[in-house]
Amino acid sequence: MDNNKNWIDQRFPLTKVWNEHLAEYYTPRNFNFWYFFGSLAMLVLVMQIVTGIFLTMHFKPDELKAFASVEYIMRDVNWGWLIRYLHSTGASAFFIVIYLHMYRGLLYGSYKSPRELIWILGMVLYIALMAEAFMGYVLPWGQMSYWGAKVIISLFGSVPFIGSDLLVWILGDYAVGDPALNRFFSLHVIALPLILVILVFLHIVALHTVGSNNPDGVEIKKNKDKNGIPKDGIPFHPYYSVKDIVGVVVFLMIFSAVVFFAPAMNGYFLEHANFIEANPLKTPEHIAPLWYLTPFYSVLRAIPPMFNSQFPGVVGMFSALLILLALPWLDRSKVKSIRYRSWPYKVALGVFVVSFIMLGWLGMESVTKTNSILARVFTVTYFGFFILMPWFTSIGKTKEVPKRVTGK
Amino acid sequence: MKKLLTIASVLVGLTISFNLLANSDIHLDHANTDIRNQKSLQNGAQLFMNYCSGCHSLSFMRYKRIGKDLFLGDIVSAYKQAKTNLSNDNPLSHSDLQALSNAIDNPVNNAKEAEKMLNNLSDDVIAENLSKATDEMIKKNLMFNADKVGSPIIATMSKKGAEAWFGTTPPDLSLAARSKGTDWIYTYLRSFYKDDSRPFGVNNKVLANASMPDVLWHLKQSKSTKEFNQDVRDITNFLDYVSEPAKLVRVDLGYKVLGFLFILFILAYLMKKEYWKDVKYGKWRAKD
Repeated sequence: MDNNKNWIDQRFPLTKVWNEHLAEYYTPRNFNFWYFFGSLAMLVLVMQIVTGIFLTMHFKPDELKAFASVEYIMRDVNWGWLIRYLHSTGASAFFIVIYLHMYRGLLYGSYKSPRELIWILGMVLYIALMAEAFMGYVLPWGQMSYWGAKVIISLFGSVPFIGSDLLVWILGDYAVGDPALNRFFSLHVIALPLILVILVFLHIVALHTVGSNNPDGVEIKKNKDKNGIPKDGIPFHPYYSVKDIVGVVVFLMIFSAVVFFAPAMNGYFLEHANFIEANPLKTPEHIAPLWYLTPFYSVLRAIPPMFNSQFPGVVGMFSALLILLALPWLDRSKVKSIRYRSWPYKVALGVFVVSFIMLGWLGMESVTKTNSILARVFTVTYFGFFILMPWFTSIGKTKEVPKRVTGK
Repeated sequence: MKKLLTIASVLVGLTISFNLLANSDIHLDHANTDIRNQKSLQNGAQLFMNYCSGCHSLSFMRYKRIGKDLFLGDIVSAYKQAKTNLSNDNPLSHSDLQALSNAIDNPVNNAKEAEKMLNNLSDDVIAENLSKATDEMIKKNLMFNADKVGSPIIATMSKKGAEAWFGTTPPDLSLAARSKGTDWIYTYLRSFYKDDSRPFGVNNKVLANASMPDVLWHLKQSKSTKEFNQDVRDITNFLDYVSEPAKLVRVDLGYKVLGFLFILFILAYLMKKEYWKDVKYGKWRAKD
């Protein structure tokens, strides 16, 4: 065994990588519940790739066959229904996990110096994931796949001057059809997964360079013992690997409950209208993207057309997404964790969470007078959180941050 | 923080409930179907083939699958019963003999003959024969316009004919229970009312100006309301099964998976606790 290890170590830094990233990678000892979601996101990514490989074996990216091939998977492929439900539930689970993972960052200021790049890589990952999910949703070629794609892609048509050419370039046709389905399939199974995997790798490399933040927002590397080991650190493996296994099993229990008992989640994970094959001649009464995209869809609808153009709405939607990238520089607070923040930040974070949830919910509803007023109010509070951040993070009295982590 | 969360959730709750109140859809009766009720599914399949399959296809469903999922079980248990009677030397009824000839794939007239022939057959061959008998039964009782048991259920009426007679093509119902919901189907089929302004003299409360005639009117008149409702429920139940045949195994498997994960959780938790003793009291306890 040792001989084999030596043989490999002379040719590849196996032991070195193992030690640097697991066995001698020191992690704060005070992680709580919120720190499960990073490893869970990795789990879901792997699951999506594995189930995706098997779905690709049976799916046909053809306008005339796509819908039927999904039903073929559901009925005639051995265990096809399970693979498909794991994949479709996995998509929603991915976003639930990612949203909680991002919220953890907001709670404990994990995006603040020196972790700005981790945050930015994570945000790019999030945007790539949205593209991946959107294209995946088009593939079953149901009514919502088709009309959702039509609405989202038509946004690019509102870009001034080049809009109509851009639209044809994206679709490969004048309307959503076979060429769009084929290229979305290609992007969904090859291009974007590749980008996601590379970004996850970079996200982790950046994390392991500076080390994890923790619920106290204390830098454990500032207090080392005589061997150079952080006094508040414990090796990731085996302590957090065994803890994450518990998190994984709990996650799988909730996940399996959905897969086996409510895979459509009453229309939230698999929309009812998507069980009707795409029909370009029949517009559904109500078109909404899946729940994880709706906060941004709401922003789009909340901004009224200006100069006879939808473009301001599109700009608003993309700004709502891109403004998150600026977070590390908008936050002026001296402390990281919510535990020691001043009350204005706590209030603002509360308002932001309510705004985000409400925008998400409004994006699933049809447009009424009340709804559009609400969407506008929450769009303002959503952007307000970022625009006013330099101000509200510099006022109010923060609590004193302890030198060492608490709750040992 | 907790106060903030309470205020936030109250706000969210208020706006959502306000909006829900504003929506007023057509009232749908609760279908109350039970996919585990085999008799209901069998009755639903028969009613569907008799009353619906002339116009509506189930193009994602094969006849053979219906036989395997809904009727094979009965044929297997009839055979088991007959075999018990045979080995206990009980007198064999007519249906016992039928069940035995299903297993042997040859007509048998008496117990002696059956015993002799059964001994020559392996379990696999018997299982195959029973499945063949199911196919034959499906062919005889449910297949009116197809000759291959592996073929999907396609309506007899041509698209052209449908356009001429109804002004539209009747939709494929393979996934109706998933797109419309079982409550909708159950209520729709029971909501026809007389309206002389419509081509077929009937209209529907759930789907205004539906092109479909009230095909179940005869059933409605010949039965009590309770019996009729049960028939409609059976058709709905059958369509629910057709929309997702995997549902028959999905839920049971789900309990097993959760049971397994629960045991795994206990083991994983105990393992974590054991390791973390190092962190609490051992080598990695907090220093200073």
